[in-house]
Amino acid sequence: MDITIADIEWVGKLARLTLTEKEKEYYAGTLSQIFEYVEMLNEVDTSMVQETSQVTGIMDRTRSDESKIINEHERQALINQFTDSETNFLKVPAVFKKT
Amino acid sequence: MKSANLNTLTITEAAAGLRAKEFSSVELTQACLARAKERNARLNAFITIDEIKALEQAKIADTLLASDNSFPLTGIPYSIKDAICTAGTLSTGASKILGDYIPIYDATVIKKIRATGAVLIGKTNCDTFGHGASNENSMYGSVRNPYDETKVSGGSSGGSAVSVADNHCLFSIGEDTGGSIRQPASFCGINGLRPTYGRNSRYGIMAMASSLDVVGPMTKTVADMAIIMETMAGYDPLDATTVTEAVPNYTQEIIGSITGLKIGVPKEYFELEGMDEETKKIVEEKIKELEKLGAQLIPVSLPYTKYAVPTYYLIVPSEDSSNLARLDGLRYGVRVPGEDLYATYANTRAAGFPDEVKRRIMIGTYALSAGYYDAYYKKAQKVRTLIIQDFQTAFSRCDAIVTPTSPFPAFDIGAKKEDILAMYLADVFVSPASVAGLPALSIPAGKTEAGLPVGLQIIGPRLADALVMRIGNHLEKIK
Repeated sequence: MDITIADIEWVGKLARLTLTEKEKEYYAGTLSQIFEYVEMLNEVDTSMVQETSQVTGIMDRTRSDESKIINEHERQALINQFTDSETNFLKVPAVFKKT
Repeated sequence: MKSANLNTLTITEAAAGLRAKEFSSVELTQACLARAKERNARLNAFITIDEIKALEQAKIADTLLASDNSFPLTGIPYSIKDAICTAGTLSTGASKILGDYIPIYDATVIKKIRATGAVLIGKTNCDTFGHGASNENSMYGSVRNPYDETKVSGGSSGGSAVSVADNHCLFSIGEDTGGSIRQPASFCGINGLRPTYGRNSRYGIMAMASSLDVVGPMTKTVADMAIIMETMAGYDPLDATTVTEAVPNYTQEIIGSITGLKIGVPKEYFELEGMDEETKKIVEEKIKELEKLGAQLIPVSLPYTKYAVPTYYLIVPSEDSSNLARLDGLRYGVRVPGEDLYATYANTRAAGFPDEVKRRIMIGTYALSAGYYDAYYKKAQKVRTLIIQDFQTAFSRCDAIVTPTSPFPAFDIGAKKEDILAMYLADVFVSPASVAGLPALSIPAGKTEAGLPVGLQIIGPRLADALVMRIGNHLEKIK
């Protein structure tokens, strides 16, 4: 399995990771190795096998959709924990560009 | 019992000493803090040691002990892996992207432990977000093995293992996705339990691979482990994967006899190419002790064992890449601005994640991407079913399975750092039980000529946590 620099650029873009040229080369090498290794799963006949996505067998567990009331101390702590804020507002970078 | 070396006590011994008023929780906590601070410069087990908060908790614990309103863990100093959220205490997951993250809530298991009046002394180093088997992938430096400082601690809960093995505290709470509790426990000569998936709540654990992650105890004895499991296990409305089965009385259950139990010995775990001969011999000798205890050893086969690592390294990075998508520099932690929103995301993630985290995100993103999903992720999920069936077949013939925890003892720092596949293969004996969601315990089996600890793994059927601890408890008593 050969993972090329172009593959890494594509995956890096999907995964939101800025990569240097040196990193692209490095990850192309290690990912090629890993995908070559996992190819061994193709030795296993799974044509009649169901996939397992969870091991507990628990189905359709729900909870009531209720808002949680928090105190002023917790509210301030939550705002402070946010990367950027101003007074009671949480600040994020603009999605749209100013024209 | 003298006040010197209080930090070397087990939970059971310390709990008795506290009640006999031989020493206070403040004295016990001071002994642990002194040891932790002195040794941290060399071993690097902690990312945060919070002396002030620890002593405050110890004072409260002493009041609880005086009022008879106490639990077995009251006043006992412990540590927590940094990938588990603790209210008011820095929780970085050994990453830079969460380098300044102070959660406002405790993980459910921590909330339960705190309610007993146990004393948190600090947060332990680990491979960033649990990605590793040697603790060399931490953005806060490697953790060193107390038995030989040139060797790795194992990972990813390496700091937790060292904090217990080197007596910085009496127990630690770790997290195990592939083998992150058991493997460092074996490298550092302590006990580590991966509980049944769903037995303990995952709420507040920094998610790595949600269908495999479990949180569990790392201790000096199996009896100590039973006390912790009794405290933290159980259904949690905040984690939809927790089971509703009643929590057994583990401290009683581990005492019962093991006479007549059938213990399976899977040949695949002893015939691995490249396995360390000394490790194999130590584990085989320890297993023979089970016969003296009245158990019967029977050969079993787990033919899909060799496919567990490739299965693991497709499922885990896939779930990892999805879980880590939330870390984008907008809602938590550090932000590295770029010229537009995309560049802000990409720069933040490039600066905040170490090499191994980036690699896993890319493996997962690739394996889940259009055109590759069926060939990789879905294929791995199918092989996962076969690995589960492998264990079911074996457990129709035996009550539990014993294996080495690792094919070799702790290796040199740097030895496998550049060889990614060799590092992944360090998980070969621990990943099958993880993939199958089974309880698995690592206990010390002995030491090599060079003085390095070797671990024995006991795997049980789902929810047989008490049984694996019972077997471990009996084996532990044979020196």
